[in-house]
Amino acid sequence: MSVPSTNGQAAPALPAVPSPMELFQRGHGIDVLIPTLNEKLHIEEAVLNARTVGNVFVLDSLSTDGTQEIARKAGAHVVEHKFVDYAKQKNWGLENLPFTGEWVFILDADERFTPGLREELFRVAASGAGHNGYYVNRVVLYMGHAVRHGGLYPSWNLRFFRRGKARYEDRAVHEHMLCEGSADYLKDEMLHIRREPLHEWVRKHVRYADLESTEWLKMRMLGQQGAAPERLFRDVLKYRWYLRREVWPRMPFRPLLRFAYMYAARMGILDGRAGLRLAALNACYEYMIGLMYREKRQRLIESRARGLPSNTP
Amino acid sequence: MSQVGPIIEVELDRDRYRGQRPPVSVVILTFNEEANIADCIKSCAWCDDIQVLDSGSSDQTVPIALALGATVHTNKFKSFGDQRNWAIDHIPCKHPWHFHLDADERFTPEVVAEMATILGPGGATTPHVCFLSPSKMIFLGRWIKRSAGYPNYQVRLFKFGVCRFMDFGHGQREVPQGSVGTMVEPYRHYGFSKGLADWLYKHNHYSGREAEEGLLIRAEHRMSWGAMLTADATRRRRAAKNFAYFLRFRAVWRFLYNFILRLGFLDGLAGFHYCAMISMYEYWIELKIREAQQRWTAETDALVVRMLSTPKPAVMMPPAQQPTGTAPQEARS
Repeated sequence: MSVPSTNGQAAPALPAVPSPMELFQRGHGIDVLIPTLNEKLHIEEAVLNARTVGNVFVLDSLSTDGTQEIARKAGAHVVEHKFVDYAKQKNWGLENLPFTGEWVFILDADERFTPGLREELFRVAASGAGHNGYYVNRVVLYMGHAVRHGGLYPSWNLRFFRRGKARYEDRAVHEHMLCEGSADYLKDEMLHIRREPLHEWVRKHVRYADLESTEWLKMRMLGQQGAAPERLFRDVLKYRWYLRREVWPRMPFRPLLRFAYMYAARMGILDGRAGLRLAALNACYEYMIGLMYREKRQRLIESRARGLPSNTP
Repeated sequence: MSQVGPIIEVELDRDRYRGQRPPVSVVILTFNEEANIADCIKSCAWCDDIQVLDSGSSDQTVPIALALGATVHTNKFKSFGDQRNWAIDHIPCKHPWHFHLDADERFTPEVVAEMATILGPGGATTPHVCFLSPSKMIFLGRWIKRSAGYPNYQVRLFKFGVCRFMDFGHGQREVPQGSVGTMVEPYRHYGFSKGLADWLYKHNHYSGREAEEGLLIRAEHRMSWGAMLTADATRRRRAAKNFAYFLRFRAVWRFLYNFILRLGFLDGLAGFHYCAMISMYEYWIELKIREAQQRWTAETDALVVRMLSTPKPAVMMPPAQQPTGTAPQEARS
């Protein structure tokens, strides 16, 4: 599939050795990729903010709310591509968009570059330091408050990397980035703006809870095993994964524990009303998962009990 | 949900009720109720005039209802009060008394017998124009006796022409022209029959409506201590509901009230989960009220501007890529 250039201009070829002047002219050689789906509330601000860093490419998953038009007007190159999952979508963008810079930053529509981060990106891009990828910290802004506790901060993601040196692993959700060579951490942070109304939050999380409880059911009732624990303890990430997937679903009083963890153990209380709200909503989410799991299990047991006699003639 | 049982083999056993058939037409409001409608109509087997008012279901609700012998009408849904009034105005019911049953509710033989007794032949025995009916909420296979607000009276049985409905919160309230009687036998309410996800989606919607109602009530300072102390259970419940709109930590109070004061703990684990879910719903209502009163998004926007404020745009786009029109600028401030 050929890549449509929305401005009708061919992308200039990348010279082999860019001079500092050329880097500057190309916006410090940084391209920003913003994947979107129905982001009309955020996209204009995001594009304008991202344009202060470099060329902006909006990779849209066929939005129906006019995101494309708003992004175009704000000065982004908009390319539409059908969504399969997050990892595949972004990998497609990394391979097919007409990037010109040496560096790529992947930004979500509800995220913003702070001035400090921008300067740091320029410094890194211009110095040509040895690393191929950089982890970026981000801070959640919620209810007029920068949330820096409750286990939500710091939150490191590999978002800034040399073009062609990183891609997402193939996974439906909670995908991670795989980077060739070494990676470092940036000092400054980006903003993650959360201003969705509660209605929106509930709608989304009922759906997530439905999916999550189905995963639990698969794991516990349909005999899909996670990897054996003794192999996992070698690796910290996998150890955490084991805890989350295997141990946590079997714990009693999960909503209360989740609340206590976020609000007390991780000091969410220091974030004031935003910390309380986030901890309470997360407890709600945990409770919804648990209830839906019970319901699905009950149904499975009932259908198993009924299943055989009703199928035989 | 897509799998519907064999619907044709259900035969309504109307002969069983021939002796005690009350002069009542049943009206059932539906929207995508294929999971419930068959059982619901089966519980109306005693009735020879079952009217289904559908608001544009996209599932098998209408075919199932037709196959079970109900008459189906369609009207676009605006609100419960509006839909019930539409049914009164436009559906030609056979009997002078109507019973509005929801798709997740079921008659019991006792309810039918009681209606036959109090209405009498032709429905002329009673001086009342409508009746409050109690209902038993069933959750996780158990009657939630204490915490679900039993008897939770609602006007469902009323005489044609002398009672209408008005919208209130996410539901409706009756406007009777005459005296209101009370029934003793409860019908069954399977409030969770379409699954928890559906219940949660629905209550996400309801909590928004309740929050709007709460904002109105708070704006008007509509609160009556007297009504909260009357002997009339329905008036007391409604006054308490108005009072609740003035409270903070609604969810906590509601949980303590349901689980401790009303002895919800005696209803077992099902009772606990019922109380907790209602509390979560209350929490959503309170948050939505606060969301409307306090402008969190405006505060967040101000914070974003503060954290992003910088003296100048840092870099221009290269000329080859410069789109026409707008110039690069800092995030909107």
